[in-house]
Amino acid sequence: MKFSYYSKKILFPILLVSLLAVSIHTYGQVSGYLGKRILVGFEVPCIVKLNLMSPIDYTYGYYNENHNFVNTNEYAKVNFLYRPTFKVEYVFTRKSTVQMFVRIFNPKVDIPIFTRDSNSQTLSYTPKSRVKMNTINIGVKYKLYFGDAVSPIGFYNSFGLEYSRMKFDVDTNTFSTDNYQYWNQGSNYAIPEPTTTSNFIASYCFGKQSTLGDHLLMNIGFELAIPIRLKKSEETVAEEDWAKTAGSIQTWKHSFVNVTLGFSLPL
Amino acid sequence: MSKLLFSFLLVSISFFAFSQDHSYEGIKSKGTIPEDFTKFTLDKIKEAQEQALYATKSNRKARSEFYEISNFGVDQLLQSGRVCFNDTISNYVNQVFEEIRFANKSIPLGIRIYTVKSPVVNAFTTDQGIIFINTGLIAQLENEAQLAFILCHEIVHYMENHVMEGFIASSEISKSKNDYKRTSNIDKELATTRYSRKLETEADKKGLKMFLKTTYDPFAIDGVFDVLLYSYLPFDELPFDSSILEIGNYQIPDGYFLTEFKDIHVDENEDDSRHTHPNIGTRRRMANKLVNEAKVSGSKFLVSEKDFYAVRAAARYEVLRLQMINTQYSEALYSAFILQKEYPNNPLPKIAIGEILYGTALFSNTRDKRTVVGYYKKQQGYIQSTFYLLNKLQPESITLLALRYNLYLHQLYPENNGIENRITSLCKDLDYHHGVSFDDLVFSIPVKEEEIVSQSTDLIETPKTKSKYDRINARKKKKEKVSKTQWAKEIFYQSGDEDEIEEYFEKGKKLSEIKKYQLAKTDDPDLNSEARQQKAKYEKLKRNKGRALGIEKVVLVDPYYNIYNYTKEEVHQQVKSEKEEIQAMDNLEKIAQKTHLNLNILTPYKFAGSDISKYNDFSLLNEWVNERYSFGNRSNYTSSTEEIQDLVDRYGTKYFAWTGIVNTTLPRESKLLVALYSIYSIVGIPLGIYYATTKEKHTKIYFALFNIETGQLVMYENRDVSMSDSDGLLNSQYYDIFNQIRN
Repeated sequence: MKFSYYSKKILFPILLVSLLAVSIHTYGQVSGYLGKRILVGFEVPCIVKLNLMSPIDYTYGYYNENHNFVNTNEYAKVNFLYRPTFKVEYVFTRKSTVQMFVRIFNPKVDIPIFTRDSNSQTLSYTPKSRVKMNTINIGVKYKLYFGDAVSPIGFYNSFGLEYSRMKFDVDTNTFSTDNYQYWNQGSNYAIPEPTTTSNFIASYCFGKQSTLGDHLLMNIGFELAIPIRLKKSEETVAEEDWAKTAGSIQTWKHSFVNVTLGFSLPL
Repeated sequence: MSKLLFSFLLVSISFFAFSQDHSYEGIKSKGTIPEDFTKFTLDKIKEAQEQALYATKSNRKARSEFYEISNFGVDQLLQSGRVCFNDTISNYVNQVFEEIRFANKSIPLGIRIYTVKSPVVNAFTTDQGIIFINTGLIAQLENEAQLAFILCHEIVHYMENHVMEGFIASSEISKSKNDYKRTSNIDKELATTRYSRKLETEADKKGLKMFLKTTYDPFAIDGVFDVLLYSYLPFDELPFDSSILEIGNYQIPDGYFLTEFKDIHVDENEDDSRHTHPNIGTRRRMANKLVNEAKVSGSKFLVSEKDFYAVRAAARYEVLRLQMINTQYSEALYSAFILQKEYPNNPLPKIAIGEILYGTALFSNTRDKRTVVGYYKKQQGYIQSTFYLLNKLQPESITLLALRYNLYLHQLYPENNGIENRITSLCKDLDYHHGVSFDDLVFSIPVKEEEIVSQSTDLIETPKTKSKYDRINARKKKKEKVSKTQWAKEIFYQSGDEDEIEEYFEKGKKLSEIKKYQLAKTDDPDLNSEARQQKAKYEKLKRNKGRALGIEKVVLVDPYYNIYNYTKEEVHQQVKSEKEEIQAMDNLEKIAQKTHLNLNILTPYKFAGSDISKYNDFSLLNEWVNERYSFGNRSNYTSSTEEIQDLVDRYGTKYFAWTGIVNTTLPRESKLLVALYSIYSIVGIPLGIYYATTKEKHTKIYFALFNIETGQLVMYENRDVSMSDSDGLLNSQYYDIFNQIRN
């Protein structure tokens, strides 16, 4: 699924207009939570993952000064991935709410780098925390509450659409000559440029929103999401590969399966 | 377990084992409300447990358990609105009790006697010193001395602490303690009933001694055992006279009436090894022996013979009223018949017959007649007649008969709105279910059966005066006349102003059309597209926005809260339930304030001693709603009476609601399998952990709002949310309900 560059400029206004349309929608008699229909809150979709999704390659190691091979295989690494989220939830009808949210997170991640040696053989190398992923996501969710639940309390199914914009800061030190020993002995290596990429994420969540008193609600959910790559900003061949791969993999890693824990205040 | 023990508790103390029935316009409590009715159960339990622990250290656990079960059980009855105090019957029974105490100084002070509005023939005692006498029992008695003996029997149960003893013994047996460690279930049951019979025999013997000290006639006691033996029969045994239904110049075909009845037969010496009471024969022989040995005489009436018959009449009317509330129409028709024979000038039996025919017609038209008329083959004696009649009448016939009878009542009591409402409702049913219109009714003098026969004979004797075709047509006409329902259309001679009746039919037809519209589903092809769209739009709005009823004031009657935990041995968590109920009532008031709904809660917990009027209202409303529930979705139910109208005026609203909360905790099934699968699938681990570490919880919220003037169910909610009953959830749900009412 490909979008034109200009589509981004259209999507933001569409989202904004949609949310405004929701907020001015006057279902005056809908109860909300004790008469309050706007909830402001914070939540963290997170997941603990084994590093099983790292790219499989044969170059997880290097030769030290004594020409001994040092294994840097990180398959067993445990990652805790989380995305702090600020949200505004609006009780739309007795059975549904609409949620607008912003996620800001910038973890340091390992990005697979594809290089080619003199024999045109593809190699890759994965040193630690060499790329910082500055990310801002905005999106909307439509929550449908089950059976006899009255929104916003009860079990729900939600369907969301999220726009994700990532800017990668590359730690050039990692690629400096001083750290030569950390990268493979291959040739034609290209240091990745800082770059930006975008994704859409379609998500589904099954969750439960309950009360912790008259002024605090708690939300717990299990979310599945599928990212749809939108576009990268620069178009050099090497960077295209890098951004495409890095953006997709990191978005998948962060959003594919999540457990969400959050709190909201009814206003 | 608790349920089992409590059932034993009730059975063991009951004097009589069966049920029976009678009628009246309603007995009312008077004076100050006793503390028994308003005190919190938890406080009663605490008080009783403290006293018991102070008194004795034996069987502490069992006693503690007993006080909990006993108090909750008794309070459930006390707070049901079915119990009367200082009323005509209770006052009279108390006077008899004073006669007994006068002759038996050892009887302790503090025994309270209350009347239970129940058609069941029964009396029972509690460990708190309360003797309950059912109206069904009073309705069957023949004299005051019989009542005195029954009271003596119950007093002994209290004085000898039989209730507690029975409970502890039953508890030991069921829990296989002491001598019952290796006893089979059947033997346990037999041991329990044997112990119960022992206590009953003791109560009979000691009660009789107590009775013999009074100046009541001891030979009256024998009659008590007849009352007991035939308690399953009506309060009198008279052949049913169909003329009470044939109020015009018409006759219900003979085929609807039985000519032979099943004999009354009950064995007073039946095997009682599995009964909680000894058989009647044994009790009778023992009593007669003691009476004969005593060689004393006395009077059948000490307080007042006149009062006894007045009280019995009141009880009989009460039984009829209760039978109607319970929609036992065959029994009620027979009771009404007896009362009409006995009190021909009293309008109540006639009005009751109008309601009985109306109710039977409603249920017949929705094919639920069997639930309200019962099976005639099981009956004994003359009451079989009314069972047979109501069973055999076709829905169309019973509706026409009900209409005819209510038109007659309307002529007698034109100011009674309830009768008028019933007439309109019946006209509606005739149109909706049977397609019968005003034009189908025959208002001319009905032709009696013998006249038809005579006409038929004429046809044969004077063949020359009639053509072949006249005779064919006459035969056809005759055949139509004996068709199953035609007779019922020909009973409207002198049934009232024909123009007025035609108006009722017009109103009924309009209501019928409205009902057709209301019941039609959105995909009903008979509904035009515009109506379908409107209905679909309404349903969608109701779901998304809720109703907007615009009601300012609601009276909430008897809210309840029950917690059931199926992961624990004591499933019904009564202590917790009561605590939550008290909290919930406060919360409901707060939520009502937030929604600007004027909410008034009627519950015994909130009554002060002087709130006798509220107590009677509470009682009346609970009876009303029980009857209303029996009618289900039959929207044409109308039961507005003067009392109900009075309630509307005094509370300033016609909207009364009943609500309840039930929280259920269930164990998760296949926990291990789910956990293993979630680990296998990796992504399901969080769900697996959640599933394995939590229990399945459901919170059910029931809410029914009625317009008590019309009986209309204005709002009905039966919600089931799969969450625990947190205040937040309940507040959210009730806010939504109240908001829909008030908005």
